[in-house]
Amino acid sequence: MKQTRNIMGMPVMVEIDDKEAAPELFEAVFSYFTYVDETFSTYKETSEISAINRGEFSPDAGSKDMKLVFALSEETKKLTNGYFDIATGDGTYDPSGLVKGWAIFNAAQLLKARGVKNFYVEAGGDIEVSGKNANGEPWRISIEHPFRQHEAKKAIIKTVVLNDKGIATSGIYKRGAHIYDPIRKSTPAGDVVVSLTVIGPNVYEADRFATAAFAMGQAGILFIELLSGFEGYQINRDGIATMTSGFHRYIFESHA
Amino acid sequence: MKKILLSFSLIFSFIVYTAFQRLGVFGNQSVYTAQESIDRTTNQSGVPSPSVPPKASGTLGGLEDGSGLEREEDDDGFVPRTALTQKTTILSTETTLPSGVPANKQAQTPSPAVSVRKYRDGRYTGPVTDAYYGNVQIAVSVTGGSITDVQFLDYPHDRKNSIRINNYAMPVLKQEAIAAQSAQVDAVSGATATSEAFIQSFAEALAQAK
Repeated sequence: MKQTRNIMGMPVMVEIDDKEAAPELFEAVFSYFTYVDETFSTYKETSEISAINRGEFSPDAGSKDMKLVFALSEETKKLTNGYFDIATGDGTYDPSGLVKGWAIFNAAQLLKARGVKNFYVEAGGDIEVSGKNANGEPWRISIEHPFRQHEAKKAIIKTVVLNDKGIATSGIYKRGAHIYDPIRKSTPAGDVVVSLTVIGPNVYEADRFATAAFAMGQAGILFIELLSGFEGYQINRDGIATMTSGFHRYIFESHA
Repeated sequence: MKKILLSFSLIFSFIVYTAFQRLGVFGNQSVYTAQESIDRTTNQSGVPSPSVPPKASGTLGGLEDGSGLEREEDDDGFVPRTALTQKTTILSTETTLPSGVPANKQAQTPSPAVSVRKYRDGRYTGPVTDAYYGNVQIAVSVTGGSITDVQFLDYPHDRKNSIRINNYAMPVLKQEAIAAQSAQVDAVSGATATSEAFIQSFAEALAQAK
């Protein structure tokens, strides 16, 4: 059973394929995402992060989850030599590059704590999978075609099969004539990499490293290569993909 | 004189190639393992001495746990480890990796801070290895968790000069042209939905269309 709701400015999708999929499970997940949105959305004036960004109080004086996200962000910043940084440069913070994966991960834990085995949770193109799909097979996830995003039916360029993993894609979204970089909130002209998909042990890890590695440009895929337990698929503006040496293990080969 | 120079440069190239073989740049990383160096040689001249005290988990430098490159997990359990043991690497001159924080994020290549970060500080000496033309022995220095120096302690040449190598070779990764597929899938991972402002209005428009 699958449900979608628009929260955090993006579609949040939950599919549960256990024999019993009580409606309150979906509600619990969506409520959690709503809470995350209301706490961490820089687009909401009433959010806690907005209050921090207005200087009303410091992150140290924030809620437990706020302090946790800041601590995780600091750790990620160190691990990525500063390529992941929630400080925007003008004195404010934008933790969305970490919060999304973190929230999906927490939502998945929430379902697991309630005994759900077969599900996926997706928010804005980042996904955590568990168990098997409706056909009793490992979850089949595709990577979106980076140049055909406007099509009604999502165009895909690669399919992977995942067993209890997380997958996250960082990239540039092309809107008309402008290229909008959601990470840097800028329109860089010279970007070579248009998307980087990372598969990791869970979506929190995949998301934070996809975010950081995307900021590294072409060297990002090398960064992922050097991470044990992570694989990546990086697409440049010419439509050439570079993959890490273990990525092939995930590729779905259709023998139709 | 020219012939000697030519011979020397040929030998030197071979040494570098062989050294990189032994270093594990091509995938066999046994040279990094201090424990192996004790096991495999009887005449090894160096003993690794980590400059940091042993961790609480009880492992000591590279001596007891069999590998100076392993690391313990942090509290949250999700910490990336070096991939050097698993990945096949091919000598490439594509990328130089500085060990400091890059000043200009857009221009610099990053150092793989995650992968080498948890190497224990110290100087690790590999086994004396047969490089066909003679022996090769490498010492690796780790400072601040990163490999900062690779030194030949021995190589097939009359003079025992050490040669320092600062570049760490990066792997050459497989590439392909992307091609549209039509597989039946459960979900799609993409970057489209990260633009909050756009998606807000897009989703609201969609909601109206339902």
